[in-house]
Amino acid sequence: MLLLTSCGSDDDICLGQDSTPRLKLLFRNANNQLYTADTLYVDVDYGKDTIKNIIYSANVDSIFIPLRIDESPYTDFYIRRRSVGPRSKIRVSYDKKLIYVSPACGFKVNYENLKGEVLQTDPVQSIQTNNTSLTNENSINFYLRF
Amino acid sequence: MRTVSIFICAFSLLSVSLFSQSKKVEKKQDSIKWKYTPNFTVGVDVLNIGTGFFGDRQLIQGFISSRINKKVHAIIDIGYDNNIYQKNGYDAKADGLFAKIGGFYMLSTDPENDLNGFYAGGKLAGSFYNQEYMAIPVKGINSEGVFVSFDPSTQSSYWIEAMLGARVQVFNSNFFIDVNVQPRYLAYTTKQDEIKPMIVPGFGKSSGSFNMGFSWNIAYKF
Repeated sequence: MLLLTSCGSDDDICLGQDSTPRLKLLFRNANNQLYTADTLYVDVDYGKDTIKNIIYSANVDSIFIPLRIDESPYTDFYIRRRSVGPRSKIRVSYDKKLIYVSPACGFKVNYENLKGEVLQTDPVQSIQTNNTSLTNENSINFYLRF
Repeated sequence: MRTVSIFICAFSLLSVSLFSQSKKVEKKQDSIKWKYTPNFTVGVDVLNIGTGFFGDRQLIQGFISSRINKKVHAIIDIGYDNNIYQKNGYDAKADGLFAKIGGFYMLSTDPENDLNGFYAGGKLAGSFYNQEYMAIPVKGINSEGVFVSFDPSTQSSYWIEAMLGARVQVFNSNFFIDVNVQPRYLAYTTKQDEIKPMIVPGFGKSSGSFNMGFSWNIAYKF
């Protein structure tokens, strides 16, 4: 009994189903119709030394982008259609709200007043806002127009 | 953590050797009728005071118990606990006083000395403490090392606990060794900004509502 109680117990594990939601984007073509990219590369600037590639895949019709949760009021990301080729720089700015989840998960972030801006066109021409609030991953926040 | 475990192991071996020396002394006890006269047993948890020298947690606790009738004892515990929590991105500390009140029932007693034996009981407990969360993790994909901190605050927590243990007289003296375990359930806690406390003085780790306490007391009967 003495030896049993002296053993430490493992702490709770955060299962992550209720953590910070990701930004959801869909694509449109020049005619404003939903569009599937044959290949797509997405890189995100998380404020580290190097930008992080989060997506490179074929036949992409939607993407989820985890936004920054640090002090930065915006997240920059880059869209390419080819491994080597022009890339668009897009900035999404927002107001952050910290929400307590549980002892194991700590806090998560919800985003309000999302604003999208294309800082560098080609291949993305413009960004259309659909839902300015990001509290779950169910609704589409932006459309990227190619 | 390892030094604490070694200490507890050494302590339990020491206690076994101590127990084996104690010989039951023949002692004629009173008859069926038992009348309450003021009596008090005061105990100090020496195991947890000892482990405080090796670990991050300083737990000082003691009790006063009084025999109410032949088999029932009332008991009050008081203590002070100072603890830290540094794990999974958390950095927190808490310290404060706690008190418990309850009773226990002698389940089986030594026929020659009805103060010796096994007992079971229950207590209500409360803790009033200061806490400070220097860091609580913020979780998001591809972002590590983001934390929020909070100002120190005063909180309170309340729990119920069961106790199972044994009390043995040391030789023929007024000293007793009292060992017990306390499975406990956190019933209510005040919260700072809805944050569930990770440690509660007197209760221990509180991320889950259940916890187990252990104490090894040396007690003196007045």
